[in-house]
Amino acid sequence: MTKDDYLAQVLIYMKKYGVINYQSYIDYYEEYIDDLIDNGLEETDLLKTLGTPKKLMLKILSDDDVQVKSPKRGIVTVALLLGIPVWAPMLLALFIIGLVLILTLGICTIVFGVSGIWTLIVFPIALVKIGIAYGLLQFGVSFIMLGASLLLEQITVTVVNGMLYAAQKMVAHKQIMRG
Amino acid sequence: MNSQLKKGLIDVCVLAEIKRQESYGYAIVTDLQELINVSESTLYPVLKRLLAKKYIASESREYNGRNRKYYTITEAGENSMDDFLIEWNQVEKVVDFIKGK
Repeated sequence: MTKDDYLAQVLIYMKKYGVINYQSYIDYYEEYIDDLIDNGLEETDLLKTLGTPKKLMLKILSDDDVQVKSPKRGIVTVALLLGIPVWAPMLLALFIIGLVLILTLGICTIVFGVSGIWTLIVFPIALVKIGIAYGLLQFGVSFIMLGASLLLEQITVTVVNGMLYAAQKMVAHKQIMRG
Repeated sequence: MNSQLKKGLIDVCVLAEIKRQESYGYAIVTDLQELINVSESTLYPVLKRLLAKKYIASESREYNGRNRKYYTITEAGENSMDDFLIEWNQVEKVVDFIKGK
């Protein structure tokens, strides 16, 4: 193996393992190998003297001065990208469920409210036209519906607030993870 | 030699070698090999460490149509050698104690 082949191999390994200051190592070992050759080493004996390029790379990786790229962020990004088909529909489903829940609660609130008010307005007519018993029943039913409407309105507000709070928490957590 | 002990001594040996005369990677390894068994891969981080501490200085000069890095000792480097020798007196006392003197 010639000096250039040897150093090219070492360079490939260093880049593969994310060594940032590889040029400094290449300069150092090139000078060192040149001096070995000047002192009578045959290029074919390089492997015997320095060990295989892989072995040299391992020594470089374990020394104090090596600067290696942190692979963590890269792996997380790749995992997120690969996971899009899984987490994107799940997130969308979660979003739709939340939206449907809020809309359902909201519509029920309005429906009960409108019917309650309407029944309350028309109960005197029923009282006169149909009879006292029926009129009073309608009067009571109108209050049940108005009460249900108020309860649903409170539940809607609580659910919306809870969801906003959870969303804020999630965003804050993500920022902490990044920071 | 015990690797912990060697690690502490190697920096001073390299300083002492460079103090004798300005030197370069291959010559340092060859001169120190018999004394403390230093190899090219152990020398690299030592040189970087000494350069970072400004105990030595480096200069690239042409030799045989290629570049070679020559290292010289600085005043801070010589001071750190003196510090080491002062500390060594303490080590000698410990060695005497171990020997049972």
